[in-house]
Amino acid sequence: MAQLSSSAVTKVYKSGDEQFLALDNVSVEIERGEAVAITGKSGSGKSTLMHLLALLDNPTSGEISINGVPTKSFSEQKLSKVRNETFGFVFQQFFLNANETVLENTVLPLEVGGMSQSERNRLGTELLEELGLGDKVQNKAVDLSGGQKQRVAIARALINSPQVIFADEPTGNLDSKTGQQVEELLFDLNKNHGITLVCVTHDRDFAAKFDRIIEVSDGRIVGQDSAVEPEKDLSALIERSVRNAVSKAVEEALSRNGENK
Amino acid sequence: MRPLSIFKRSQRNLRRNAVRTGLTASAILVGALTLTLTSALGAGVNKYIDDTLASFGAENVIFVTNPTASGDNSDSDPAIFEEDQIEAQVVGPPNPGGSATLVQAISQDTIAEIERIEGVDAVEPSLGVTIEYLMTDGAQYVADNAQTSLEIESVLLEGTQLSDDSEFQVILPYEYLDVLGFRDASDAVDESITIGFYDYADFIAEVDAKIVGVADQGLGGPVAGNLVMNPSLIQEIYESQSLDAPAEEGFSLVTVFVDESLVGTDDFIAVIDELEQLDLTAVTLEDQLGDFTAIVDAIIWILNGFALVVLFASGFGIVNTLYMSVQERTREIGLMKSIGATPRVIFSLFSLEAALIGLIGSISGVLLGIILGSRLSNVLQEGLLSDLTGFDPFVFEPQAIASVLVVVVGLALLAGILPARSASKKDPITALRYE
Repeated sequence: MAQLSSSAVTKVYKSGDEQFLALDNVSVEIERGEAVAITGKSGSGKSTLMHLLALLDNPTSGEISINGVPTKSFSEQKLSKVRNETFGFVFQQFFLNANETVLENTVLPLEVGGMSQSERNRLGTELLEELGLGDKVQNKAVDLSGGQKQRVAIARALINSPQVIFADEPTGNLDSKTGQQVEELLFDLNKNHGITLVCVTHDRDFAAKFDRIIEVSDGRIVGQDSAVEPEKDLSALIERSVRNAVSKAVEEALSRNGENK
Repeated sequence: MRPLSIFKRSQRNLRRNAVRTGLTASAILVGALTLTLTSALGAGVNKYIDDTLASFGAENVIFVTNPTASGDNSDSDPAIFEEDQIEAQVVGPPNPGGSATLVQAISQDTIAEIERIEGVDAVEPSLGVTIEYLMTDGAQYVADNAQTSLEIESVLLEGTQLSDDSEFQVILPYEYLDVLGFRDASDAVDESITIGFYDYADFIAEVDAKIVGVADQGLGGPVAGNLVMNPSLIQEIYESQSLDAPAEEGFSLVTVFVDESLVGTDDFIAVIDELEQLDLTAVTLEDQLGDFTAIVDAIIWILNGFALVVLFASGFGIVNTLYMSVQERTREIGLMKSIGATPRVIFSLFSLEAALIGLIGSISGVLLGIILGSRLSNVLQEGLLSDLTGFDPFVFEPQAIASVLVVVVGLALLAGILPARSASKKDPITALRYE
């Protein structure tokens, strides 16, 4: 049974008289322990799909199920509990509270869940040490570098030992080196701790490292490129890098051309 | 989320915006300060009235006198002389101002009739006597005596009330302390005083009595400024002043005690009507106080109204502050909701902030009010209000202070409802996208 699934999900945003069809009849299934990238251009509906799977939003029609259980009938209380206990969230803009310490930021889900302060501080300190942030525990979040902030955000997503981590462009605000570290950390959690990873990205290189890519365009799924492990398939990797290099060069040439005009 | 966690978060948020919190709380402070002072003023005035009310008598007491034709201003014809007319003298209740009024004696027959009126519990006649002066060792000082009942207590600065003893007892008004050579009220108690009066033959006679208490001025009333004597002393003077045999005694004042359960009912008014049908003048506590207490209450309520208007206005300050806070922390709210904070938790966070602002404002307002009120009390008592001994204009009652706190925090909570609701209803996705 799929851990997360959407069946014929449609999402319509209304603003005044205008309607915008963000998702159109989308059905996906994500198995336990899978690493899935949701890709697509901005406005394609990829974020909306993740938000629906993460129970942050309600579909206009269709059904979202967790471990086969439809969530439509869940109360606000129950939805909050699921998000608090089984999901972890990592956002592009980190969303750390700048005035609070690294530890306080990390243990926020436990605080919301109602754990005692001493217990959550113990768990938080342990986790931060594992993630190499042991010396920053009492630092204010505002004093950290970008990479450190995202690692704290990942620590916050991990603190409740979630079954699924949802990440929205987790490397989008990071330079390539720290982005690399964050990627490694996420895949390590997926491979070695069995946490399902659902990640929205428009970075093709990053997406290529996932078990499966769900490509969304204009609210529809246009491709499910599954189980091609680029590391194992050398020719595919070479082909992809060449293609990337060529397209990059073409893009640069075009932009130079544009400037010259 | 644990209540303690919610509390810590709320107060941390308030501290982070200390200036804004402070300014909002100051508006509340002004309201709480005003409310504290006005309620204390009300309590002070009412306490003073209560304290001094003893000298006016209880609510179920009616003072009954028999007016003469000459005392009746509506009748301009000369009065016919009547044999049992008591000499001009001060009689308290009907004319507390103290000017002389001619009264007729009330006969034993009339007293028997009064006793027969339905609702009358007891009747206590007082003999009419007149004194002329008081003296210790030196000069003689002009004095009047109050016509009153033993049941009506004086407001004492020192000493005890009169008793129905064979010993001659008086309660001395404090105005006489200085001139009679007493250092203070306690110095006068248990001392002897000489009372001078005219006997039936118009010769000066004197009698010695013991000062058992010294009376405060209070709000006036029948005994204010007059010497109060116990029954045996009055009897003694009466016997010197009157030639009548005791059986034919006429009384200048009859104190009527009505069944207490009738107070405020039509039956009480019926008693007064019946007394007036006997051509007697009936004066009740209400007649004496008039609308005095009602006016005081009205003024206090108007002042309280002003305080409530201030509080109402400062409530909008809270609404505004919290809306700003909700706006600023939109993304924080979005994050908290996405990691599982229920709308109820978000609502509690913000309404607790409102309550805390209310609590800070009201506690500091009440404290400032108490300090200011006590200072003002001292200044007023030594200056403007020095004539009103024993009047403390601001009396701070724990109950009143507690209700000020409750009212203010309640108003703050009410003001917090709208912003807290808007925070709790935010959609997590939209909130996270908020720039």
